[in-house]
Amino acid sequence: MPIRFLHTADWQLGKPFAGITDDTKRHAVQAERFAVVERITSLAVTHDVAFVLIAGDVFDSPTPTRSLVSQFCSAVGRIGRPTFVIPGNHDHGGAGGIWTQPFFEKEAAALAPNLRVLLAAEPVVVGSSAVILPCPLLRRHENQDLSAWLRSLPGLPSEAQSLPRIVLAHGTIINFGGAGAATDDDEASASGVNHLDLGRLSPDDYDFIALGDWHGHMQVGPKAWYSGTPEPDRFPRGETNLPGHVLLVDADRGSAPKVTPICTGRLGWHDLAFTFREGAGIDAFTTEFESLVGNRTHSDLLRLQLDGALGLEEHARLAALRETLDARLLRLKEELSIAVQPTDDEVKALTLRSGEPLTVRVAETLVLQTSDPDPGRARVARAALRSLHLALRSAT
Amino acid sequence: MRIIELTLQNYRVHREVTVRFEAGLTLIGGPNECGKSTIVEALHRALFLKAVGNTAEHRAMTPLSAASGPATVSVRFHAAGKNWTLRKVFGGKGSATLGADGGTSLSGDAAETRLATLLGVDGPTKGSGLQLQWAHLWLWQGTSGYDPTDPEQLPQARLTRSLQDQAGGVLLSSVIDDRLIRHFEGETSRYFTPANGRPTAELADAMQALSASQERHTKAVDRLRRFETAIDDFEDANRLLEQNVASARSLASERSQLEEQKGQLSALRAQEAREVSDVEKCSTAHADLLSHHNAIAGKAARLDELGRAIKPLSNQVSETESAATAAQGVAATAEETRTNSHAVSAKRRADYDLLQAFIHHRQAEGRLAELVARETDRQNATKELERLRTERARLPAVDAKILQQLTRLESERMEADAQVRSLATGLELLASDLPVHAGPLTLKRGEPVTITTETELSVGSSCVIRLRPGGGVSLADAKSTQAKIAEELSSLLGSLGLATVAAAQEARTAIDILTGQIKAAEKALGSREFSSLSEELNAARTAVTSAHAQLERLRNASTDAPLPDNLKAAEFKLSTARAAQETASEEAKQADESASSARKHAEKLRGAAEEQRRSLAEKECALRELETELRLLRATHGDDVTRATRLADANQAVNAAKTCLSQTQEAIKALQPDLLERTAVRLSRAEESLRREHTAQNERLIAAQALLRSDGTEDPVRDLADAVAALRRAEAHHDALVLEANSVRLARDTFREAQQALAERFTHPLVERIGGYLSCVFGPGTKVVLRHTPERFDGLSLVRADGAAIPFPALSGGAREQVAAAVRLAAAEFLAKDYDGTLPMVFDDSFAYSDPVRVRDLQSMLDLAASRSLQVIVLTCTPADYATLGAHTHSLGT
Repeated sequence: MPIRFLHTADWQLGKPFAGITDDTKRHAVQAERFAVVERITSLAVTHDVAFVLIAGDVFDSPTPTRSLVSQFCSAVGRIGRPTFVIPGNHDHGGAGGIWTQPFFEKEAAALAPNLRVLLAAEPVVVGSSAVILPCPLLRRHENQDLSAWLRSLPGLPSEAQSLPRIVLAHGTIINFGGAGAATDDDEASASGVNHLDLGRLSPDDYDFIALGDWHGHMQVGPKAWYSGTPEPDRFPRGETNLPGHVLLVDADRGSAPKVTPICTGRLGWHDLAFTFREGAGIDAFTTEFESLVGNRTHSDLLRLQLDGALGLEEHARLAALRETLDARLLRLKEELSIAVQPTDDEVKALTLRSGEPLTVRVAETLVLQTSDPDPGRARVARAALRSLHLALRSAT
Repeated sequence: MRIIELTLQNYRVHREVTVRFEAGLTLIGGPNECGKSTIVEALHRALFLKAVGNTAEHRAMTPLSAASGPATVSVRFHAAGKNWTLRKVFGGKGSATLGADGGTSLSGDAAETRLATLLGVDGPTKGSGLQLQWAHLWLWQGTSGYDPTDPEQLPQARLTRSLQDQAGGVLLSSVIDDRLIRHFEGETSRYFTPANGRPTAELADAMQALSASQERHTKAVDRLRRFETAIDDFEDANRLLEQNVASARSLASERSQLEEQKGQLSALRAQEAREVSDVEKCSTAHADLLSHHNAIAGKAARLDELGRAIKPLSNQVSETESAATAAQGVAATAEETRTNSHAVSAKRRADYDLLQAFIHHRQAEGRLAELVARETDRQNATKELERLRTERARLPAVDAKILQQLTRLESERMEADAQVRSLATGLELLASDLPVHAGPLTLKRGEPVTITTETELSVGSSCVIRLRPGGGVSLADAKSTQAKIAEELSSLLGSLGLATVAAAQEARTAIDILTGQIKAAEKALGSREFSSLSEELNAARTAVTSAHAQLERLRNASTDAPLPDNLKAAEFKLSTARAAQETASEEAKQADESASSARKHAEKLRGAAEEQRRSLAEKECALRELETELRLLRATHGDDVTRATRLADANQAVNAAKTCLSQTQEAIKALQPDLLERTAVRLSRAEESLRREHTAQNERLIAAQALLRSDGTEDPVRDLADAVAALRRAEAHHDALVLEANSVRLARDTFREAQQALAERFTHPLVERIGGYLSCVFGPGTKVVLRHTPERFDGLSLVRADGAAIPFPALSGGAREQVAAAVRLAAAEFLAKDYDGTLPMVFDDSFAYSDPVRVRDLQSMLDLAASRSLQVIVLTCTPADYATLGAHTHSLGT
């Protein structure tokens, strides 16, 4: 008998987004993680799903605060359908984890009677609709394959034999090439701790494998899918990464599942790299930025990588432009390695001033010092030259 | 501009005085209080003080005797290409006139204004600020140590303009430059305190914020680490507890197996004890039987042995006794031989001693005879010596000195005789009819006469001829000398009892020969041969007596020994006797040993025979006792056959008991009792260790659980993320601020350096000139550093040849005077360009702190100034110090 359900994962509730300096903007991005749960609830109703599966990392940390727990339980309660969750690497089910804390159990019982936290590797029969085979992460450091117990499936009750069998797991199945520990919480990092060897499972034993951990949605086997996070929470890494979806799954025992990704994400996370050079200055950069973000405000986050070389005047314009971008965007994350070198004209303007003998002398000295072999001294000299340029502009 | 002449009338102490000034060097000398300073004061007043007025300065210049008239100063000077005459009468009704040679004369304000123009000042001064007019050229008393770059002491604007003209119009800074400098000074002071360059609050706050963020980050990391460590602890403790349970189960099984084996061991040990007792009993019975049996057999064997041993013993006793008797006979013979040998040896010794005594006697007699002969020789020699001495005493006492004297006199007499002979005149009458008389003598034909004195020769009676031999008195002198010497010789010979000098010489020779013989005789007598002769003679006599007595004693003792005839025979016989005596002595010694050995052997044999007899008696007694004992034992324990049967039965019983015991012990060994004990200890230890480990892991688990139990108020993961972000922001803010601060400071510093470089370029000619003057005083290589801001000269330091820079205020009083003078002179050179190329420089006792050597060096500096067209006017109370200046000198009296 076919069954329909929603597969989601990696809600990362409580993610601090600490890199966002502005409190309002930070709160807005944090709030969006609960707003998407409301959208998931609507989808559950619209598509009349039997249940919802959350494949780990509901919380961003194993120790969410009481307030966050209440907010989560309340949101799940509003889904109104059975909702199954397993711990992931961010919110593992081991010692100190949230799932066995008394205040969690109390709030869940009070606000989300439809929530079931699966903390044991054993089959769970969901009424007469499906058998869920969870692979919960019960330790902080797990170096065993949590799906190993599925290689020889224990006996199921006879009434469950014909039900679709759905594996619920959190972990990596391939090396996604994460760059180790990220420096910011809005950058991707490889979890790499809990590896799932799905190749050792008999394909006919299972009808769908619902995976969490990878934030883009992706099919990784004939019946295996990552749903990705329903609301993007970090800057993109590669073209194939498509976060901001949930999967609507129709499954049946012994047949291939039907999987429909549905977009749920709202915020735009962008990556823009631009190299300043002759013919590609501030104007060209402005055009590129506008094509990416348009006139939107407070709904986009941008990682901006700028390099190349700029003259003093252009650099001053860039500074002004960056202020504008910072105001419009929820987050402007800058990685700048721009060589600020006065143009020939600017050097001339500074050094060919017959009326200002001192200024000329100072400008000449500073221009020389920008080529100092000590990068620190050269940097200070460039900044001093910029200051001189600006001061001269306002003095004349 | 230069001063040519100054005339004062009724000015302070001066009634009227005129001073002429040279274009180069002028020295005004005079003691204190003579009015030197008054002269230059009057000059200054004439140039800069408005004539009409009644200020303190006006009043001060009025002479003490007011009746003489108003203070009047006339100055001739050269300026603007002309010679000018200025006359000022000071006071309320004063007047001023000024006129150029050949031009119209100005008076009143017109004169004052024109004068001010010529001097390059704003106008005549009415009193206030008067002293500061031309303060750079006028070193009043006491101002020589002032900083010469002070704005009051230096017309900075004028000098700057002059230096700019000199440098082709170099600009120090523009308005925009100045604005930028102020901008960067202001910006820098936002971040760094101007006083010491420390960070200001703005920068310090950022640093503090960074430090706080770092602290927060460290705390968050620690907290999360504690949390994660608690999780690890929990998981680890759980795993260990599970292992612990498994270990406990395995231990319990091992323990039950051990207990079973211990039960078996205990049963076997009881059985072993019983069997050991059985073996002991059987063994004791067998041992008793065996002991008796062995005792009887032993005694029987001993009896046989004793019986066999006694027989040879009695034979041995008789053999030994025979041998002892024979040995005694040998000993008696040996004793006899020994006695004989000793007698022969004594005889040989006596013969030898007699011969030796004979030889000694003969030798002593020989020695005595020799000494007696030497005594005779000595007596003969003494007699000969006395004879020689007597003979010498008989000769006249002609010593070497007297002989010399005699010889000399003899020689002198012969010389005198020769002289007389040569002076005498010989007369011989050849033929005469008349009697011819020579003095008292009558000459006869054929009889020549010699006259030696003045003699009258008369021929007849009419002819008298006086003859003077030698022609004068010398013949008489010669004769007198001859007589004197002859007398002296004769007297000397007479005193010696001699007739002639030859006799004296003979006597002398005889004395010498005798003296030599006497010395030889004395030497022979005094030789060692005779010195101790008397003692030797006595000793020899005693020796002869003693040797004779010894000989006699030995002769009496020896009956038959014939003595030899002579010493040689005796010595030959002595060597034979010594050999015989040694042989006899050796034979006696051997006889002693033989006798002793034979005696000991005999005694030993006698002792052995005695011992053998005693031993034989003891053994015979023991044999009898043993026979009795054996009989008694056999009666008690049965005969030999009965005893052997009993012994075999007992031995069989012992063997059976031992077999049982051995089997039981094998069974015990198979159980490894040691291992069982060790296992029990090991199991107890392991159980205890497990119990402790269980407790520890339980505690660890509980502690970790307590730490991990959350109340939902904190999220360490999230806190760390926040702390990281905050740290990054603080770092970024701090870095940006530091960069900004450093960049504006760099801009400011670069401006300052540029400013300094420009100022140095600008002040370079002035600094060079100053250095030229300083070299005169401080030597080559000395220079100054003169800072110049856009507004003013600021900061003067002296740099010595060794590179040490000393700020002007830190210099000594003397050095300050000298450096100030150099700076003023150099500045005056530049300023003089506006005054026809010359300006007066007045030094009023300006080198009070300089020592005489420096004052001399200063003169070359002043001379250099004069050679560069400056008019140098020096006032001093010690003109002598300036003797080498070569200046025109105006001396003032008291």
